[in-house]
Amino acid sequence: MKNIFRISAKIDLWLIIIGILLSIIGVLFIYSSNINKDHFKYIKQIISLVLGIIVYIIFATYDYKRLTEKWFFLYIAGIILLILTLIIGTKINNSKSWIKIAGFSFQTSELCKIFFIISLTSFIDKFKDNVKSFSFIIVSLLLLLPYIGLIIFQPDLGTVIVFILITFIMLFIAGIKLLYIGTLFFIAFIAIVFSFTSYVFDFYNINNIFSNILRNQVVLSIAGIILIASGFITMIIYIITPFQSKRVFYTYIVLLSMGFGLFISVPMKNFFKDYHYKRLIVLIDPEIDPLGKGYNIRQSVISIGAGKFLGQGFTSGKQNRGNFLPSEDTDFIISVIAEETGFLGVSIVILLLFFLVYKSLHIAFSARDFIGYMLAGGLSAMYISHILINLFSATGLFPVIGIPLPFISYGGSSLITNFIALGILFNIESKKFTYITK
Amino acid sequence: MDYTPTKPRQDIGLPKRISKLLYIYYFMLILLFLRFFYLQIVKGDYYHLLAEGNTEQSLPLIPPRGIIYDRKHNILAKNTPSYNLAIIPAYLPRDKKLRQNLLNDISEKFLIPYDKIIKRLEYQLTSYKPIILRENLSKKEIIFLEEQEKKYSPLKVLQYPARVYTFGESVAHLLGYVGIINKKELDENRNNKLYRINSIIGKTGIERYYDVILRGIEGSEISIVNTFGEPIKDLPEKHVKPVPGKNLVLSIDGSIQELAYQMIKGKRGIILITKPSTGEVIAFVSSPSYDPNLFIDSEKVEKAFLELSTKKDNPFFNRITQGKYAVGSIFKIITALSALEDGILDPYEKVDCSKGYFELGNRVYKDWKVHGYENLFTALQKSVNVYFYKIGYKLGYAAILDYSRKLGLTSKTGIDIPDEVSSFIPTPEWKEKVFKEIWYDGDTVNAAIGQGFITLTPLAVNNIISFVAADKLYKPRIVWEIRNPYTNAVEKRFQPEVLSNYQANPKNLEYIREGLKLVTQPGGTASYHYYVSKIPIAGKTGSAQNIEKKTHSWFTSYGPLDKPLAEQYAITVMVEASGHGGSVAVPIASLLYNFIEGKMSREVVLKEIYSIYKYQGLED
Repeated sequence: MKNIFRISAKIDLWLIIIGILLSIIGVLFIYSSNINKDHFKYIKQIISLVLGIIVYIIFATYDYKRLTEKWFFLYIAGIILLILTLIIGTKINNSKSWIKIAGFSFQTSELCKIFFIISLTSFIDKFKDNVKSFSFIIVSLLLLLPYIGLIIFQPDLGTVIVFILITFIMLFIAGIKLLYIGTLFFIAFIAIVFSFTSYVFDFYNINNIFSNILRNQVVLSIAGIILIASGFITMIIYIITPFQSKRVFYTYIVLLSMGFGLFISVPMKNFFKDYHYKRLIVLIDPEIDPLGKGYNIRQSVISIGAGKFLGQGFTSGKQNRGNFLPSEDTDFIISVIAEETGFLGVSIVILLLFFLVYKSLHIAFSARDFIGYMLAGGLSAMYISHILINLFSATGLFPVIGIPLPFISYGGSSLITNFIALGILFNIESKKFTYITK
Repeated sequence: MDYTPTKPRQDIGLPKRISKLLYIYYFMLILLFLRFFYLQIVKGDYYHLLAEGNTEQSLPLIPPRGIIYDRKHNILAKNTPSYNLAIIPAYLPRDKKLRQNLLNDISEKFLIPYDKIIKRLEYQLTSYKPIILRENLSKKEIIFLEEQEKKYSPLKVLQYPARVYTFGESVAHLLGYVGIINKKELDENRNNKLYRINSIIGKTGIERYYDVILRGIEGSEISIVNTFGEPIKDLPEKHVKPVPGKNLVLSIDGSIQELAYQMIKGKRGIILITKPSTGEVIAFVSSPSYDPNLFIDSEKVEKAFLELSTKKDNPFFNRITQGKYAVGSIFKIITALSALEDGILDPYEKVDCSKGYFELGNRVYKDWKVHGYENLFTALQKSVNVYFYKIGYKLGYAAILDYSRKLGLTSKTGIDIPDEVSSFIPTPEWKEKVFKEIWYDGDTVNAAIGQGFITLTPLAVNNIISFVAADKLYKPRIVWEIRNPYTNAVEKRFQPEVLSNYQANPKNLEYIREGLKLVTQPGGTASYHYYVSKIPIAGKTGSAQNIEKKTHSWFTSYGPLDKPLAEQYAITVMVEASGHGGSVAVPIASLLYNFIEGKMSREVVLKEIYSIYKYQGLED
């Protein structure tokens, strides 16, 4: 008893207060957005909130060290869970991401994010001496592969992107060489740009010499091979010359990554489906499909704008009441908040969300050990990637890929997962003054 | 808040990386704030209006349709502004009595039945959308309305471009007409942004074939309207200007086209005039026809369409591209050509045709008249059946089929008119499939003189004679130039297209030309020409039997022979159930040669042809 009291004096309760505050905001606007539809959704969310607080207490008191020791078991458990989802899962909104147990649907990929963060944390901790080597990144990415491979089959591109973001943020704070991250992003960027432009040419039926060259798969592959080859030659020059010039070094890195990017763009174009590209195209040209893919973004932007400075009042949003918005309690809940509480309300919500991220990064910063540092960093990465993707999508700056806003969006799996993360963060913080004496 | 540990911490984390990450997050945060600020504060009023039950309404701005010219740049189709009278119900007086008085007044002044107005206004009394009451307002009525603007404030004049065909009925099958898009056409163009519900679309003919070029691109006038459709804010920055349609220049000669139509008006038949040297179509007439201008007035469309399409001789039937006819003796040209090209025929050899029939097994194939000993020239001249029975039998059907294919008789000609059908040359396989019977020699013999199952479109027949004239088969084409609507500069000029690479031995073709020339001389089946016209031509008549009493009268020809190929025309005429080829089709063609060569005026030609009809007992 005395012990617990001592801990609570040392730590502050900001995180859980913000978490519960955001959840209450969530419940309110889930109520508001379902006011003339499903009346029970906000009650379900309250039940999830209560469950969330319970799991928060469990994880807050469970030593994170003991959690990370079980990383291999959790890693395998995550994979098995995802395989099970593909076999016995139920389809909601065209994605087989849910397991139904006793009437409750649970989105397994949510929990798997925690499993994965714990696993990657322990892995990084074990090999932290090799953190500067390139093979370290490769092995980390190999660790990620089964997860995203299984999730892409559901298919749930949004969650895959979240997993990739979490991994890169964690590798970044683990201290890998920036050059490696930069190179990988450059390759991905080139590949996406080229596969996307060739789709755009097809889509708008643009036919000229320039577009025909850029979309010709043979030309792209050959250009890729030529760039890779010249990259290798430059690399050999770099290695054999006695004075290793920085300029030559960057030339070969850029040549190689451009080459690989071009080379990958060819299979990549065929890998992504029409509707993936359309979601990208509507960002640039929402008018092409105002009732289809462009509709969501358009309605969301109208809702947000209609809120002006002070909003139209709780449950009084015209767009909200008119049910113009699709998935208004998940992907676009910020649009409802924006319409009904205006710029003022949105600012408060965004600041709260960012404060949560700031706090969790602070916990990482002041953690007792490297594992705590990595774990808190990973959990903060999970929050920030959800927050950014969701808000950027709703405001029409990023394709809509169906990512919930932490604590606020409707969905028990997501809420409970967020509270688990909060609990673990609390635990890391509570142990910051505890030292293991050897 | 003080997080500094009481004991020095192990150096574990990477504070630099964390702060770098935080900078990125701050940047994102600022970006998000700017975005929300832009949407909610800068553009807030705009989106607020949109959400306020308001919607953007886009009024289409319809571009003028491209103008269609003939080869001498006379206008065949143009646009004329048409004025519609519309009413905006929301501006009507609220008081029932006043409203009724005003509507009664409108009904009287603008000659619209009162019941019709009431019916149109039903359930829409609060609407701000204009409802069209009447079309084609006269200038007088428009001035009257402008003067009394205050009194008739709910009325509005809406202008839209209507299509006018200056040559009326004579160009209906050639140009087609325009109308409101139907469901089928909408489905066919689902992925085409140019079409939407209520679009005007070319329904047949050139108007349909070149619709995408003629129609231009619609613009739009976007404004914000409230729930009632009342415009509350114009958005000029979102207006899109319409792009006018492009003009077309055809190879058609309007005066020849018009005269040709007048010559067979009231009959069922076709006149097709082309240039064998390029495939240019000079006249394209199918009768009976209809007045394409009727369809300007959409109110009359339904009525007119029903009336016309139920007529016995369906005027919507384009006989040139869709009619498949037995062609009779004209097919002898193919038989002769096949035999000469296969080298089994000596054109000078005299063949005994004096029996007046040809015996094969126990069947007898008759001639239309007893002839004597004939060579190819006299056989063509007098259209001697027995001669062609004999060479057809000797030649075999495979060769006839082969040369028919080479002259494109088994496929479409590809003319730029929609819904063309393909001619039909039967094959032994086809006969076995349909009649469960093998191909007999008798079938070959019949085919040699164009009897049996062979049916050709007038286009195909004209292609045969064009080939004889030019020794090369060109695709018939009507549109030759696409022109810029502003400057009238040529944007695209089409080149003659060769339809078949086949070329005959010049000597063989010369034999056939010689025979066909004799046809138009005294003693030939088209000897009538000799008495009407001094212009040397060559041709072949056909009198095709059909279910009607009289035969279809065919004549396909080319000339003048004393001019170079580039100045020669091919004229194909067919008049259904009117008698022998020589008696009706030949005079029409001869008179047309006279007109084209400037030997006769339009009036004289018409007078001549009417007297011929009278003589033949073919008056209406």
